[in-house]
Amino acid sequence: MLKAYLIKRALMTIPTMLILLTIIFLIMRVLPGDPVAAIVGTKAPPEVIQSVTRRLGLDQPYHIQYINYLSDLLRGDLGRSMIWGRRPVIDEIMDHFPATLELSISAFMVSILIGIITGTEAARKFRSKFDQVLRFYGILTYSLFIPWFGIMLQLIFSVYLKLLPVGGRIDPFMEPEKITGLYLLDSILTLNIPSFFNALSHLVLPSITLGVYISGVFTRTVRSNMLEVLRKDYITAARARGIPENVVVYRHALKNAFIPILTMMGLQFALLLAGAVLTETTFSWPGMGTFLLERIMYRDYTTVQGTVVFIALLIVSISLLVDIMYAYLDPRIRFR
Amino acid sequence: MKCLLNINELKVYYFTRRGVVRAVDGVSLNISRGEVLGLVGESGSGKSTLGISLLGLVPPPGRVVGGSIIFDGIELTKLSADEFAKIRGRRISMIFQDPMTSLNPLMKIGDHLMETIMIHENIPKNEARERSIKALEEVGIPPERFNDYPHQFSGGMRQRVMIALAILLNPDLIIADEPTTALDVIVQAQIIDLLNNLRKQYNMSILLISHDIGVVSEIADKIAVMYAGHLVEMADVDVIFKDPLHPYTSALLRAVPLIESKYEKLYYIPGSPPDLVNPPKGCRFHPRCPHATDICRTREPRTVSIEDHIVKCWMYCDTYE
Amino acid sequence: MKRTPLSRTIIPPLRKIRRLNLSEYWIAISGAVIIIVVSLMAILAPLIAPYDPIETVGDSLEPPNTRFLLGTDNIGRDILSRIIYGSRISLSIAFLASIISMIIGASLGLLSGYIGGTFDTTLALIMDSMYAFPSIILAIAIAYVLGPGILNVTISIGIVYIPVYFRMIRSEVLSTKESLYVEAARAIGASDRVILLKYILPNVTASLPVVFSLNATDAILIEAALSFLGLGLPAPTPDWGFDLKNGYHFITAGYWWPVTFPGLMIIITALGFSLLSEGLSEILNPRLREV
Repeated sequence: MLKAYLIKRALMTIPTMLILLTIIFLIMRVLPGDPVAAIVGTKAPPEVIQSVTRRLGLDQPYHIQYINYLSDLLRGDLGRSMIWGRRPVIDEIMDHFPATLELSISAFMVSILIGIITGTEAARKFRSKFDQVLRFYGILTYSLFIPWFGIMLQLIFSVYLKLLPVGGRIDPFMEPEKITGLYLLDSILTLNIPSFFNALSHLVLPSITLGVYISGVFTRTVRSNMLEVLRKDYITAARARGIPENVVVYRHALKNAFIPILTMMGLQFALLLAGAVLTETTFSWPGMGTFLLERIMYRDYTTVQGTVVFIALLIVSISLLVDIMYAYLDPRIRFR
Repeated sequence: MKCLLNINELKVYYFTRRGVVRAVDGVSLNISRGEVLGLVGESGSGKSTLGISLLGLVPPPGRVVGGSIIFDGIELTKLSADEFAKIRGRRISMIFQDPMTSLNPLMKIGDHLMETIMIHENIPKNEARERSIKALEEVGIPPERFNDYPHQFSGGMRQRVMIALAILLNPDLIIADEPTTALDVIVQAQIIDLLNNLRKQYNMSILLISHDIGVVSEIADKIAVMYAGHLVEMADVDVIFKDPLHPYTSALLRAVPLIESKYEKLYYIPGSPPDLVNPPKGCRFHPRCPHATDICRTREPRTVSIEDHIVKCWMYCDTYE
Repeated sequence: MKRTPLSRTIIPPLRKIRRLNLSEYWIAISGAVIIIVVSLMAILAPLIAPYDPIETVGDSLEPPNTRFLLGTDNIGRDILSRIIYGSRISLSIAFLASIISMIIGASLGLLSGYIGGTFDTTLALIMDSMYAFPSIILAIAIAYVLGPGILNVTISIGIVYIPVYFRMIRSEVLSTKESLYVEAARAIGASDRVILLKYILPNVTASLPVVFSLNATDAILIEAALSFLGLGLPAPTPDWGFDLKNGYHFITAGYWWPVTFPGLMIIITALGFSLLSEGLSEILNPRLREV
C-alpha cells in the first residue's frame, strides 16, 4: 500500500514539473522581452543578432522551440554556457550547488533550533508576554530584508569586532580536497582541521542571516501545531501517567507535531532558496544564487534559463522527498 | 475501612473570557481503601473536572482555587509539579473516556507501558518489558501485540491498554472518567467486568465517573451525585437506588432504562443544566425541580447527613436540623 | 438533528467585525500608522526633503551631522532626502504590483472555482506549481527578460503574487458555492453573472485586505531585492534597495550610514504592511482568539 501511495505521489510530480518548465519557457521566450537583445545588447550589428538567434534556435516557431526545449531537458541537457568555452550548464551548476546546499543545510539547522525552541515554549506559555514577543518576532522576520540584516551583521562582527570574515566561503588555498563539495564535511573527512575552522568561520554569518529569516515561519508553525497537539487527550493521558512535563512536551508532543511541521518545512524550501539567493549575494557566497546573478550580468542566457530550470527541478524533488519522509514517519500511513 | 482520599470543600474554577465558570464549587467527599465510588451527573456538572483535579491536571484557564485534597496523608493541592508527577501514574492513575485518542499515535503500545514503568522505577529495560507484557496479559491482550501501534487496535482493545497502563504500577486509586462511554454495549460490559476483577484482585480504590448511573451501579459501593458543580447526594449504592432523597437523583434514576420497567415511558429531565458562569440563585437545581419552593429560589441549601446518607436539599434541612 | 433557522442559512453571512477594545487592535493600528507615515513622506516628499535627492550637495560620505541628518553618500547626496524620495518608488511599485496581482488572481480564482471541472483543475495545478516556486527567483527571471524600468519591475512583482490570490479566492468560492443561499438564488432563477457578482463575490472577499497587505509586504521586499541585485531601476533614481547596494561597497571601511538608513526604511515599511495584515486577520477571524 505504501508503495502504491509513493508511486502515485511520484507520478503527480510530472504535471507539476511540466507546468513549471512551461512557465519558464513562457517567461524566457514568449514574454515581450528580447532574449537576443538581453544577450548581445540592443546595439549589436545585425549579423551578430542573426547568428545568436539561430544558435539559440529562436528563429523557429514557438511550438518547435517548445518541443526542442522539452526534449533537450528530457535528455538531461540544460544547454551550454554562452561564455567561457561553452561549458555544459549542468557542470557549471554542479560547481556551485554544493555551496548553496551547505549554506541551506546550516541555515536550516539554525532555524529549526530557533523555531522548535521558541515555538514550543510559546505554545507552553500560550498568551503570555513571551508568546506575544515571539509573535512579533515572527512578523518581524517576515518583513526582514536579508541584505540589510546581513550587512548589519557584517558591520558588527566583521568590520568593527573583526571576529568573522566579511564574505566568501573559505580563504584562498584553504579549500579541502573535494569529496562531496561541502567544505565542512570534506574537511572532516580529510581531517583537515584548519580548513574546517576556516570554512566554519565563513559559514556563521550567512547561516544566521538566512536561518533567522526563515525561523519566524518555523516558530509560527511549531507554535500552532504544538498548541493543537498539547490539547490532545494522549498528552493529558501521558501527564496522568506521571511522565515529566519536559518529556511530555519534547518527546510526546513534539514528535506528533513534527509531521505537520515537516510538511510545512517542505514548503519552506522555496523560501529557503529565495532567501539563499539574497544571502549569497550579500556574502559573496559562491552558490547558485550568486552564480545566477553573475550570469545575468554577463547576459549568459542559456545558463540563466538552465539554472532556473534546475531550481524548479530541485523544488519538485524536495517536495516529493518530504512526502516520502512523511509517509515513513507516520505509522498510520506506513501501515495502511 | 481506612480513608484513602479526603476531599474537603474543593473549588475548581475556570477563568474564561466569558466569566468565571465554577465547575466544582465546594465539594467534599471521601473514598476508602478498596472502595469504588461512582460519581454521576450530567455533562457539565463538574464531575470530570473533579476527577482531573485529583491529578493536578486541570487545564488552563482553570485552577483549583480552594479546599483541600488529602490523599493518604498528602495534601495534593500544595504539591510542587515534580512531587505531583511522582504520584501520577504510580499512586493515582487515570483511565480516560475516549480510548481512540488517549494513546500516542506514534508510540507502540508496549512503549507506552515501558516508558511509564521506567519513569517511575529504576529498573532495567528487559524487566520493564516483562512487566509490561504481564500487565497486557492481565487485561487480555496477547504479547505479540506489544509492538503494534494504537491505530491497529479496536476501541475496546485500546481501552484495555489504558487499563493496563492504569494498573501497571499497582496504584492505590484509579480515576476512571467515563471509561465505557465511547464503547459499544457488549464491550462496555467486558470493560466493567475487567475493572471489577482487577479491583478485587489488587484491592484498589476506584473513582468511577459517569453520566450513566446504570453503568456505575454495577461495580460501585457508593454513589455520589453532582449537579452544577455541587455534590447533591451521596450514599451506598443500594440506598441510592432504594431511597433516593434528592429530586435530581430520583430524576436520574427514572431516566435509566431498566428492563423491568419497560412498560413505563422512558423519562427525561426537563430543562437543561445551568450556565455555570451565572448559576441560578439558591439551589442550583430549582429551575428544573418539581418540588421547588420559595426558599429553594433564594438560599443555597446546606449539606445534611443522615447517618451515611448525604444530601444537599431544602426538603431535608428543615426536617433534620 | 439541530435545526438552524432558515434565515441563517439563506441570507448571506455578512461577516461581522467583533467589537474589540482598542488594546486588542494594537497590531493593526501600529501597522496602519507606519503605512500612513511612510505614505505621507512619499506624498509630501518635495516639501519635507531638505535637498534634491539626485544632486551632490555635500562632501562624499559625510557622517550624520546637523547639515545632513543622516549623512551623505559616496557622491555627496543627502541620504535623508534620498530616503524620503525613495518611499515614492517603493510604495507606488508595491501598490501597483499588488493591485495587478489582486485583480488577475482574484478574478481567475472566482471564475475557476465557480466554473469548476477540467478548467478549474488545470488552472489550479498551474497556480499551485507557480506558488511552489520561490517568488524572488521568478521575479528575477521575469525582470531579467523584461529589462530594467519601473513598469517592468512592477509587472515582475505583480505576476509572482497572482497564485496567492487565486488559491485563497478559489477555496472560498468552492465552499460558498455549495451554501444554501447560493442554492436559493439559483432556485429563484438568478443568472450565473448575478450569482457570481451579487452572492458569491461579497462573501469571498473578506480576507482580501489581509492578503493584499501581506502581498504589499512581499512587494516592498522584492522590489528592494531586485534593485539591490541590479535588476531594478536605473540610477540615479532614489531607491532604497539601490542605495543599499551602493552603500554596500563602502562598509568595509566602516561607513555605516549609507547602508543602515535605506535598509531600515525597507524593513520598517515592510513591517508596517505585515503588522497590518496580521492585525486585520485577527480582527476578521475572531475565532482564532477564543480560548
